[in-house]
Amino acid sequence: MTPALATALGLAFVVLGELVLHASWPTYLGVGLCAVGATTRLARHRDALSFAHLGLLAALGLHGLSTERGLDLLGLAPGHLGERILGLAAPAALLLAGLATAFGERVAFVLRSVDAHDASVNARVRDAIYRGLSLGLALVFVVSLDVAARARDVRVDLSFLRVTEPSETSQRLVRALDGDVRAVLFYPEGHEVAARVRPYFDTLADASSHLKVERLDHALAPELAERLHVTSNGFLVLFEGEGEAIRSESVELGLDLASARPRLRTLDGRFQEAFARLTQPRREIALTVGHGERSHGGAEVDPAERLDRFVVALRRANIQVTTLGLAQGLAQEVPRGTPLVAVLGARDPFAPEEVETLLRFVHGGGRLLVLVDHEAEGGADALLAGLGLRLRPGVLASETSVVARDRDLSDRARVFASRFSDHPVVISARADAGRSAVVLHRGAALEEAPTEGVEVVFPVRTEENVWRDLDGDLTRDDDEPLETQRMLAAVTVRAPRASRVGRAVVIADGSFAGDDLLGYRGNFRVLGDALGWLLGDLGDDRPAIVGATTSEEDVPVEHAPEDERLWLWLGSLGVPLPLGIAGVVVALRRRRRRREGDA
Amino acid sequence: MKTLWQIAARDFTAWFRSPIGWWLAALVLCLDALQLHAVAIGTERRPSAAVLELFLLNAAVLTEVLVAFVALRLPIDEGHEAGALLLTSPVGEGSLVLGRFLGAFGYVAVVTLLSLHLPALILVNGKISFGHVATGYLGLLLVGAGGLAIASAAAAIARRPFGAALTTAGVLAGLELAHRLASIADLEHRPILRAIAPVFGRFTSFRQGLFQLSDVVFFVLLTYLGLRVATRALAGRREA
Repeated sequence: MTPALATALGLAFVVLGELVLHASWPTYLGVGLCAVGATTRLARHRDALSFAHLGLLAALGLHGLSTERGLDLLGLAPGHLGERILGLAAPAALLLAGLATAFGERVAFVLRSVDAHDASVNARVRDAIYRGLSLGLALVFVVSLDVAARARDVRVDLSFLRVTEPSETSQRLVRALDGDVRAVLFYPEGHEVAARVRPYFDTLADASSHLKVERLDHALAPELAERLHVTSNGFLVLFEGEGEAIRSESVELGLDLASARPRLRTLDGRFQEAFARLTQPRREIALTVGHGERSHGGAEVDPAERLDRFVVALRRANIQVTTLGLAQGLAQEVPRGTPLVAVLGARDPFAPEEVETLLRFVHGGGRLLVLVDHEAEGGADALLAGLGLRLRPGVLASETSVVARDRDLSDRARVFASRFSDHPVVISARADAGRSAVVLHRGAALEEAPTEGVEVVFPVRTEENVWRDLDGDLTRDDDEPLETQRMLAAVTVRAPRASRVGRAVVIADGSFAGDDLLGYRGNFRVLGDALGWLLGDLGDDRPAIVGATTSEEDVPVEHAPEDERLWLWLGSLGVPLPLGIAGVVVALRRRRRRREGDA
Repeated sequence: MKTLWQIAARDFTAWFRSPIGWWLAALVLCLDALQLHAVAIGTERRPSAAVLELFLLNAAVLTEVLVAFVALRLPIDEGHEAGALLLTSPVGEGSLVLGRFLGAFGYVAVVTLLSLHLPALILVNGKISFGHVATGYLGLLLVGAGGLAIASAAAAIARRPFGAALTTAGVLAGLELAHRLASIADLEHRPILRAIAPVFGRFTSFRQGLFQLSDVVFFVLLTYLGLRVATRALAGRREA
């Protein structure tokens, strides 16, 4: 067996033992074969290649010392400086000696027919060994720098990871505090996630002296962490009270910036939810069911009409959503203690007994929110009549007061209204006048049907460029005059025997609280204030019931309609096409030049 | 230094004097556009950042494919007059290797940057951060540089165009495969295997919009190592 073959086989056994089988016998066999290769080579020639083989053997020995057994032999405890030096030196020595031997053996193999004692052969083998060493050193340099760069890494996030500013809603929540609340960020000092969220909480702390913000390391505050049931760093904990009376809400933010990214993008909403749970009274809203009402989750066929956004906003305000159907007594009596009932876009008619129950509830001082479609099958008429209202026939349409979405005729039924009165139901929208408008999609107009003891106010109106489309063609005909339309009514019911006035808000669009329309700031504000007015919880010093949040949350890419798709295809293929043509021009020119040259 | 830039400029312009250079660029940009529409945007309702991430990942793989094609032109063939002239010219190996590398890198960079309008298309119906795009494209340029350095080394060792292209593709595929192997390797070796994969390992931060210094350093070091191997191999050829 030649020394080269013995060494190659030996290294293969070492790799097999160390990396594949995790057994010691192949390693010992491998080292033995390498020793045979080196001594055989040394016995025949005392040249540079022999020393490369010896170097490889020594590197294997160094590797052996860096293993657990070797460290035991040297008496080095885990974590000792010597262990770390050996851990770095052994692979570097193996790499250097391995490459030097391989390069030298390769040249020796190529020149095997020439006399091995020839000085020029020796010189070329030596040069090859130096080249191997040089490459090995370059590799060691590269790997060392890479390891050092990873150990002292710097990371800058340039994606959409800006921790949001606190929204006006969050700041109002904090301003409304009348007792002390502490916000503790459980993070080690100088942690990158804590550094990103700190400005958010500093801004909130500026809004009220009752909010105290601090950062604590979980390991350095074990008692507080235990009382707040925090098991590790990476949490925001909001708490109030002391000792046994302590109440807390925690929000997990995460320790790793990459995994914390989605949470940080929606920090404002998460903070609002936790903060409201801690500081706001728990309230309830009962949604009627069983009449094809708009719903949340996957039950709603049209995603635009789902109530997901609305339900999330309610949860953030610590408002619990319950259901009210026949099983819960809708045909007899609204359960006692229900502060607010909502009819959100029923598509099927209510039974007369159910209408009676709802009206009795309002006349007894209850609060009712009704979103109604003109396309609903007439079942809302009796309910509206009891509230002093009726729906005017036709869909609201306009050529100018519209919000374009599909850029076709159907957009004419997407009408906005931006004329607000000073009623509390539109107080936020009015304050934001010019930027906020109420948008309806296939909405209808309301008119008063005078009823005793019922007072109706219409706080939102459109411009005088909206007609009621009676024939469904969304084109204005002679019998469809342009008028100011009223689509929202605030109803006050004064019953002689009730301890408080009943209130109702009626909006003539069943999908008003759906995800699509709730995306408009005006709708969000009006719905929030309507809930506030109904629950009797409005005022500049009070937090909004349903408020907006700031978010850097990502937006799903909407799939374009066919005409836009064509534009996208043209846009993306527009560059390769001219390049391909340029290639053809270059090819033709070349051919012409070649022909001219031949001629 | 002047010679280095002359070699780089000659090699760079050579790509545009030949129809292959234009057609290769058109093909890569066409594939980039197709992958954006068919794969990254696809038919699912993905968040814009996820679309951009997927686009950048596919674009990085396409950059490696482009590099393998560019490797066809990198070997200095002593059988040809121009190649023999270069090999025997009084130009240092370093200048020769670096000049040819820069010429090829200029071409790859131009092709890469010509695809910048594609992520902008996501803006039509989505929302992306310009910082994310900038980081992603920095990563694409670094993948190109690292791959071309490997191609330079392969060209110096393999000497023939197809040998160089195959070696480049093989080395890049091997490095990327290391990332897949990590999932079945021992726990202690997993980070090492993941750390040597250019696209599936070290490009991850770039496609996520994170500027991570260690990953920039990795690509710079990969480029340095490739060029150093190429220089040594060329020196060996000249000595032979």
